Amino acid sequence: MSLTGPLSRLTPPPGYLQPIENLVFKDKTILLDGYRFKNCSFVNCVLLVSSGRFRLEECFLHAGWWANFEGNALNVMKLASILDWSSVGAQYRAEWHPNGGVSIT
Amino acid sequence: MKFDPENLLHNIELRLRGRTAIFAVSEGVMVVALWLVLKDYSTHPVLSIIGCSLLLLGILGFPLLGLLGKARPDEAPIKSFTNIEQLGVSIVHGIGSHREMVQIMRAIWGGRRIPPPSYTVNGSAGNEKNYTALNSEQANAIVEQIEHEIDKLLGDAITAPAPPTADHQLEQSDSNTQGTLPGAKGKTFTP
Repeated sequence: MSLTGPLSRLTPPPGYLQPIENLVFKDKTILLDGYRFKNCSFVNCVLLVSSGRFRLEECFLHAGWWANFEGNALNVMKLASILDWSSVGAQYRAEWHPNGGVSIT
Repeated sequence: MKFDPENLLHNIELRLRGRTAIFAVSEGVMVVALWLVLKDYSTHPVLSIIGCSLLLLGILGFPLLGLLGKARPDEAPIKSFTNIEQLGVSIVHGIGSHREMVQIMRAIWGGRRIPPPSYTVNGSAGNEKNYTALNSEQANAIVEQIEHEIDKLLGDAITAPAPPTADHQLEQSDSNTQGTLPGAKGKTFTP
């Protein structure tokens, strides 16, 4: 594709998530969007979500973690806050593993 | 102020195009010629004086031509970027370098640089015994490696073949919504 032409059409936003594995973040603020965290641990971290395009696979959220929502994710969060959670199915819930890990895929 | 050779090259890449590139090369050639003429001054002084005068005139006069000439807005393209997220279409205009394209793709991708990690894990991340502490140099190296992977993947995406058209994608999404949608029950509010 020529970059010097008068009009260039980009491919659509890439749908991939950058993998991040086997790391521990402590006392950090992390925007989850765009990443796929696998076997990671978050200790006393603030997790930011805006687009909601992320994955957590068997990750560990230790005491002191917090989440901040903005953009589209904030709207989804507000809608979720008025759901009757006693009737909400498993597909709307994070998956908890026996070892204490959590997956959101 | 810190000297950053990468940024300098980036700026040169953006500015040395078309008329500006010819101008810069001409100036360079004249400076080299001036040096050659002065080097052999002792062998042919008269010729050197005439040559030096003409070259100096050229070196000093050339920028004046550029400064006094009419502005040509078409040589500095206006950069624009349109992203229609629902259709997955992004249109850019006036972007002249691969690096700028990668930066735009990065903005569309939406991710930010992750902070330096504190430990690596060998085994389950749920067990602190599996943690190995990282010093700041190691942590930054991991972040840089991740950044490099992201830039490479986004750069590859720019040169990848064009995907199916937006119409085709819309047709696909319509056909996916024909069945019964799963849902979650909302709370009942009483006025």
